[in-house]
Amino acid sequence: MTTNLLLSQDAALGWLCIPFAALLMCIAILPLIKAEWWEHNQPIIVVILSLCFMVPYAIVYGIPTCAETVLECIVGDYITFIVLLLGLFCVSGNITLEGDLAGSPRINCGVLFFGALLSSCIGTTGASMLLIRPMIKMNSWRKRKTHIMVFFIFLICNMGGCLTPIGDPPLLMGFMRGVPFTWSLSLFIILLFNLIVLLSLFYIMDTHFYRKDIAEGLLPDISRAGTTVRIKGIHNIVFMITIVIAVVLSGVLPSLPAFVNADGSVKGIHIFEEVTLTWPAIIEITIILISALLSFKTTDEGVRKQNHFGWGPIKEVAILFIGIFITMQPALAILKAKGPTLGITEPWQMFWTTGLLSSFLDNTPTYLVFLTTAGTLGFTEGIVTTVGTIPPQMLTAISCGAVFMGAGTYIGNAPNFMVKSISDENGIRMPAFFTYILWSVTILGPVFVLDTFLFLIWR
Amino acid sequence: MANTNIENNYKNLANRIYDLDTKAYESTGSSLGRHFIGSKEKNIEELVRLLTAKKQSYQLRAELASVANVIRTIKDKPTRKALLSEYNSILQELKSHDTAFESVEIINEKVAELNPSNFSNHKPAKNEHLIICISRSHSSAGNDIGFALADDLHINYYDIDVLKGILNSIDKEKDTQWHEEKFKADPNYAKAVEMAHRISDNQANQLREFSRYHGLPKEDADFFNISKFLVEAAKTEDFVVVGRCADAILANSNIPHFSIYITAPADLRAKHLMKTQGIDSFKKAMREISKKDTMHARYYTKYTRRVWGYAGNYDLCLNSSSYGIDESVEVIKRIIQKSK
Repeated sequence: MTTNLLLSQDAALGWLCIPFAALLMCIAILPLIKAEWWEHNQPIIVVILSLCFMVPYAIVYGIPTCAETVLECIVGDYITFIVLLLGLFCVSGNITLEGDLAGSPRINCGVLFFGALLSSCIGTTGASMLLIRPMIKMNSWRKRKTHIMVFFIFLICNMGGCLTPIGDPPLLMGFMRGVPFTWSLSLFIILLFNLIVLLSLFYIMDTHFYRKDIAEGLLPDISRAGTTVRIKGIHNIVFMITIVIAVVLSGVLPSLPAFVNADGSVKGIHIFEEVTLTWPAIIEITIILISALLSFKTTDEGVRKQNHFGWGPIKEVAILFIGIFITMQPALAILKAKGPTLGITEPWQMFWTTGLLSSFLDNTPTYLVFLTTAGTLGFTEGIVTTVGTIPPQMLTAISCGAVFMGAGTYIGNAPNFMVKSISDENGIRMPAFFTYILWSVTILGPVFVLDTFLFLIWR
Repeated sequence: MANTNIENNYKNLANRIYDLDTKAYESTGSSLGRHFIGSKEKNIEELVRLLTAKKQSYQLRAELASVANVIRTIKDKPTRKALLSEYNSILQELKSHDTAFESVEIINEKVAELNPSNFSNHKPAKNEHLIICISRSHSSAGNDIGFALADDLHINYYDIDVLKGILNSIDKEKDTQWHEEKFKADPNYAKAVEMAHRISDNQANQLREFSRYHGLPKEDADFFNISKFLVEAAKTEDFVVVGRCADAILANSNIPHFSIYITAPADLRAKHLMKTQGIDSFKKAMREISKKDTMHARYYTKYTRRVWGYAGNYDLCLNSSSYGIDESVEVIKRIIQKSK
């Protein structure tokens, strides 16, 4: 009887993935066929699809379980996620790069390279938010710039974050589970290889489009006597670093005895059943919000005006991602249940499975599932973590999969969608959901195949 | 019913064409034979077939043109006039039956509107200036023709050397302005300049160029500066410009201009080069020509994505060896005379 019930609940989980798929379809298709309607009705669609998941879930698993699941994802994941994005969005919106560097292939390559490295220092979200506007501004004289933003998403919003736990949340999770802070630096050779391949390709593509723009008579304004690259609102770097510290703290504090209950759980404000808003999370949120507020108070409004700062992009991300966070719960539950039984034992298998799932699901839980899976495979040599000993090759595969393949779709990593929204808002025609996937499959696919052979199979 | 009417119309028309040829033949008094030979029925049948098969109207046009050629040779004026008016009437009727019979226009209106020597399509603006863009293959005397033309028309002349000089003075002016601004804004700027002198000249130049050209490669920045200069100059003066993709630059800014491509057979150009540059070997001169042409082509394609030297890109293509320098100037002047 119990087995039957469990089986039917497992089957129900599969069906409950439909609202998540439907939401992805809406994000993919509606902007193409009914853009204005979609823009106005996003909150309604998100609520309806969330209810489409919550009501049947409550019927199958009971209201308390449903409430706990939804509250857990909102309190435990969504709030910190959106507050971090909001904080970085606000602070970066108060920094503007003054100067009149003209967007050309070599300058764009330079910014992408610098941005990719910066991502590991201040996080992919921070680097993206800091550099997206200068990138748009430099290339404002050009007509063909979609590819610049796509490579921006590939390199700065995702790949660049692989070198430190600050770079991307999955690596922070790894750090919290015992992976040494400096271990991810060993991924530098893979990042460097990918940067060389992708930047070479980008340079060729950008030169082609740059020449096309010039042939049509588009010219940058280089009338000024010289270029001074000056950052306005530079004091906001302090707030940005503060936010990065807050993120690191949220990873470090839960392991300190002062924040741990006798039963091993993290202290915090109890919300419902097992759902608790932990003190480290509250500290993180408070620091971020104060930083954002101070950034606004201490920066001249002119800077925001220069940045064409508006609330549109963060609003869109906030609305869509709450829907994504809620409706993806069944998919995550299936992954947690089935992940360890998938028979994945080779690093290349880990790379592709973690990666492909990270493209559509949140890459942090996906990373954790496969890190745990690797920890249970019984390796005796390698990096000792709280989930078990994991060989470096396996950890490389999981880390690279989660971080790199977040670039697979707009929803693979939070800054992807932010960059898309900010670009859209500034008149750059970004590819639609599926077209973007086509870009990533065509460009990143072969690079990942090379990575697989060079760093995971032949090495 | 409708089909029968059309068929009758075609038959009538075919008869009129045949009769016109008969009358023309009789009026010339020639014994050399007429255009439509053989039986009348067979010829009428063939003419109806040509009239029906619209795609073959060019054949019919050729038949008619041959008849008209004969008519024009008739010495008796009234007869010639009468037959030509019948010819015109047939032509009009043919056009009303078959639009394909009319010449199919090939004009690119956008290009034609910018061509000051196209007196039908180009409507000169009030303050429009005469701008002549010359592209030339190496050593085809294109620069000499351009210079002589500018001299003759008393208008300004720009070529790569003149434009380089202008760019240099722009750069110098900008540098001075830049240093002045910096000195004003920052009292410690002198120290920074002193420090810059401590690093090697090469590095200092690279940094300066990076700043001066806003991060762009020098060649691109030069192209942008030349573009800007030519577009500004076109607002205030008449000029002849040789090379530098001027035709494409002006076309992109919708500025009327007359574009010419000047070339000559390679062997003649090589001989010209041997004389002007004092090169003693013909082979060497040919190599030089080929090298320079490749450079021109590469530059032109790089900034315009057009094919350099492709006749379709220019309003006029000129073989300078067929005219020489002075007569080339005269030919160009004759073409642009009205617009001037």
